[in-house]
Amino acid sequence: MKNSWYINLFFVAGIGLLFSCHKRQVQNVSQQQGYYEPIRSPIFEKDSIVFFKASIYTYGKSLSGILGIRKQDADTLKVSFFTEMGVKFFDVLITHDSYHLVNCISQLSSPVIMETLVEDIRWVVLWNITYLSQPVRLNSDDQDILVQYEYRNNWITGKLNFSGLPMKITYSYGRKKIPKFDLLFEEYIDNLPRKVIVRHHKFDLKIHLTYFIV
Amino acid sequence: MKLRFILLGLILFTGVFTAMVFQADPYIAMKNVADFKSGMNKKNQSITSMKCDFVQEKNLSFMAQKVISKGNMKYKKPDMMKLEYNTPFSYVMSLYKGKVYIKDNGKVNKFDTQSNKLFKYINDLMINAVQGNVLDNKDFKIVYKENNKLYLMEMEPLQEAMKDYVNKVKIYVNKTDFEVSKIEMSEKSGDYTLITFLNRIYNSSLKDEEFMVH
Repeated sequence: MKNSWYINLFFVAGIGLLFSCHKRQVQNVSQQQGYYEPIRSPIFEKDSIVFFKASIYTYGKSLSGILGIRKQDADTLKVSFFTEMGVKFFDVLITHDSYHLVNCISQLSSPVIMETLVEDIRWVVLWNITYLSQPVRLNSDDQDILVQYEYRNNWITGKLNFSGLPMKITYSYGRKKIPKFDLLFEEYIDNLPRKVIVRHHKFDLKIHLTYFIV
Repeated sequence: MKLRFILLGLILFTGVFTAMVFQADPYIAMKNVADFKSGMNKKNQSITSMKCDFVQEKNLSFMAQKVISKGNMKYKKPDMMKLEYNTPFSYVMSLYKGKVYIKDNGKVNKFDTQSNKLFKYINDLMINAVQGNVLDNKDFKIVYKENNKLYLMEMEPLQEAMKDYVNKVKIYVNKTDFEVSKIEMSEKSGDYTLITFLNRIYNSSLKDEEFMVH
């Protein structure tokens, strides 16, 4: 499998992760204290399992498959990723602080790849929202609500609609709040996002997820 | 003591009866493999093209869930095949003149089958399995079985690297007409993918262009 494009795909992503050099961005916003509404996580409201058609794009290459996420209990997610034709990429158990690979093809089993994917999955289903603290409203716009939370010395900025459902989540880190990745939640139907897009800032990785019912 | 024997007898009887009910037509070693091979070869030689519908059932042991997808398939000798998934998601995979075309999320990607061993392996397997053209395949150890209605070829990959993806392939062939009715691909994780072919039409005029993906 030396010439496999999976290796190329994630090797490039890994290199990008290690050596990327982006301009640091500082968010200059006016802050208003006193916002206490949490972000709502609608993903598991109706069912403990969700399926997404997943397309991953990185440095001109792509990989697609089906991502199944089951809320096992309050602390654990079970996640499977496999091709449309049924060939398994990985099974992984995810908690807030760790993950355990149950099955994984060799091309995806590197820590750099898995840690990136696991973190993305946690935020796609908003698994970490109970860890958010110190909410601060950043705007007084009537249309959308922009709220910033602290998350373990990092920053989560959520653009919420009036129901508290996220439209955009930005993960930033450090004192200068450097953006790490965005999640865009599109096309809510019955409180479920039909599309979620994950877009990384530090390297060229974009993940398109389309919800479907099995 | 007597009661114990009666209870044990009852349990054994129930177990055997249940096994008989659930496997009323068990598979046994094929009696005449030469006749089977001859029938399959004859059927293969009579086919120039095929189109059919398919139902794919992916059993996720890790998540205790099934994913059913449906679509249609076209095949034309010697090496053209197109799989179009319609539900619950849209996805097209086509093998056309040594290239793999994939339409996913509205975008078409092209790969060289020679540069990706996994693609080549799975695609060759599908093409050959659909035709039943796996007899004497050197990449697999094949065990031939049958019951009253079906022949069964149980194939185990010999290449260790491929066992990562497919542990066992079962091809079910109708005894009446030597048509491949279903294919089951199992993985070492315990997952399996069962593809059942329906509404087959043989030797209709399929143009090469129908295998292109736009």
